[in-house]
Amino acid sequence: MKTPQSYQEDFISINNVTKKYGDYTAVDSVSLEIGKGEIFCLLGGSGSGKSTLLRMIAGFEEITSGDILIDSDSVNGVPPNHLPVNMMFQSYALFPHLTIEANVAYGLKREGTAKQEIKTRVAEMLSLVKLSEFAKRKPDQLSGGQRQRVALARALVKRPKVLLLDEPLGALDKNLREETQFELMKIQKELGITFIVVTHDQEEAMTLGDRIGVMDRGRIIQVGPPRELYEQPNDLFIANFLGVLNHFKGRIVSTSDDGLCDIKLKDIDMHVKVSTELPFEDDQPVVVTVRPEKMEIFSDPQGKPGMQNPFIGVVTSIAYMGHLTVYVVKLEAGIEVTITESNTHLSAKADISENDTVRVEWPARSSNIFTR
Amino acid sequence: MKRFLSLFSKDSLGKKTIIGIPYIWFLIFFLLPLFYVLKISFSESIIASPPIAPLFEYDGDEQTLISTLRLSNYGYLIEDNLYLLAYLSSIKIAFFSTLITLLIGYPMALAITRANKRLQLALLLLVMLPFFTSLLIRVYAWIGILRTDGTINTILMFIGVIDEPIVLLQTEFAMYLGIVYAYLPFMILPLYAALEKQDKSLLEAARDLGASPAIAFLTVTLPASVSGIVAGCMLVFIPAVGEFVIPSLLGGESTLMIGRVLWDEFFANRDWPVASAVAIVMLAILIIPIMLFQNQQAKSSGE
Repeated sequence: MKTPQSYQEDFISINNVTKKYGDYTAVDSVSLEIGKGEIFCLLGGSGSGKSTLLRMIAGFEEITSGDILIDSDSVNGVPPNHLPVNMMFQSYALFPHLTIEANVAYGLKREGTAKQEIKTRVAEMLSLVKLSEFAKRKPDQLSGGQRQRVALARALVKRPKVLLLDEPLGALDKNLREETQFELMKIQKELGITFIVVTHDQEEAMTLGDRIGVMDRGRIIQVGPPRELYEQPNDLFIANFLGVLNHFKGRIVSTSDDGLCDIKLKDIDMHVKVSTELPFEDDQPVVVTVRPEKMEIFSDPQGKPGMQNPFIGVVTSIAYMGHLTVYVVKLEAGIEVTITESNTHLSAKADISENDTVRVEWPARSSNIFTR
Repeated sequence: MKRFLSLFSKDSLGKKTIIGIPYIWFLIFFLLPLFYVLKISFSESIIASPPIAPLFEYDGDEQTLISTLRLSNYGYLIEDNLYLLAYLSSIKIAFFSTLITLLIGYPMALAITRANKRLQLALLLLVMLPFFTSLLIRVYAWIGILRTDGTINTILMFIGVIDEPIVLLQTEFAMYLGIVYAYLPFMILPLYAALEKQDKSLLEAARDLGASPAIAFLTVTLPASVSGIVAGCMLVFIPAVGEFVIPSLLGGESTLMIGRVLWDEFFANRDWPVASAVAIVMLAILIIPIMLFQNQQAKSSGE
């Protein structure tokens, strides 16, 4: 797990930035502070404005209003070739007519760096991304993963203050993605360059990011470390975006002094208990969410409940996925819940099969509660 | 050749038929006529119809086949320097026409790729529109425009730029104008195809890595479109070398082009063998450099 680090907090400072295309607002009054040496992920669906924000930092899009400062210098009106940032493109945008070596050297040549220095720095970079023996090849002679590393080397060789990555792993297949994620993090820590990553994949954002900013319809909804966003989302949209959820709609019946709410679910005869620090009024309509992995399933329906929310139900389907098993259980009140169990040892919970009556439990502090 | 030989391999009959059709087409409509021209070029001109001496004669008395294969037509091409001058002049005119077409066509192709999708379609249609009319009619239209009492002179005299008409027709300028006008679409279309498939983020990547717009164009857009440039130049240069209609209608009496020499040999002199030799040499001049170039390309990409 990542440990919180102390960053120079305002290394990149985005102040009230708006981008409009005619009547359409792509980015809507976004303010953000990104620290030096941080990996910051902009997470959002398509049309959320994350790529537009990235392209404004790179100097490809004009800022309609507001200001972006990198290390105290404004990017406003500065052409992309004069900004201390480099970008890794989603399509990699490798120059097809140049060799790998020449692709990486391109940026240094434009700077007028001395020939000998270009040679050493390109060689250094290629060995960092483990492509030294491919130096003389053309991009179309490389695999997707190798091309991704060339794009990374080409963007890093100029030692930018900030590296912008647009869906860096989007074009790779699943196995390669996981491997590349850790490789990317290792290289980032080694060089200490600030990374801003745009992605639509919440898993990618959570693995890579020191912090994540979730965007929707041009706005930043929440900024925080992955754990905070996953476990204490301040918005139902974020909770849903970051993973599968069980939803319970209902009204508050009562709240005890130690913050334990009793909630009667809408239309069905079922109560759930949630512990919260937020003040709620009685009879207030709320949505309670519980992550599938926070619930536990027991084969013995008559056993003694150990948690605040015990229910009896029937298993309607089981999906065995290797590292975990997903159960769908129809509770007695008629509502279906999804539960995941890690298969921590061989034949864990193997005695549960479809149509079995089981007991489902979760603790009151493992759920979140949102007003609606 | 290898692919041709594969026709006789153990593929199924259906597959052979499908692959065979283009080869048969090629054989009947290209190789046979070419072979016929080659044959005539080794013959001798006589007053007959067709005006050529047969290559093989059967001598009934001696009971032998007499072959009269002559290289004299090729020798004639070397003796009279008219032919050499015509070849050189044709290549020069084709070269400069190609260069001008490229210089005009490249910005046009680039502009089309940068336009939005709907405008792109309209612009491409405009590029191809001249093909809906016969070339001859379009060349005659140019005569109307360039004549001493034509459109250009009338307008220039009307607004008072010139006092008396300037001679435009029957000049080298008119000939270049005609060739460039006629062949511009053949340059624009392959350039458009090459530029259109270029990833737009290549240019952004170049800018991002520190290139100014001009440097980004010179180091990325231009070299990455070489395939289109080569294709366009070939499509213009090859037919321009043998061009006959445009130089004879728009060009002056003094413009010497091989297409015109060929026409004169065939129709004015009725000397088919010499005309055929002229055509065969022209083919060799055009094909050999192209084959060398392609061989080179294949080698460099096969590394």
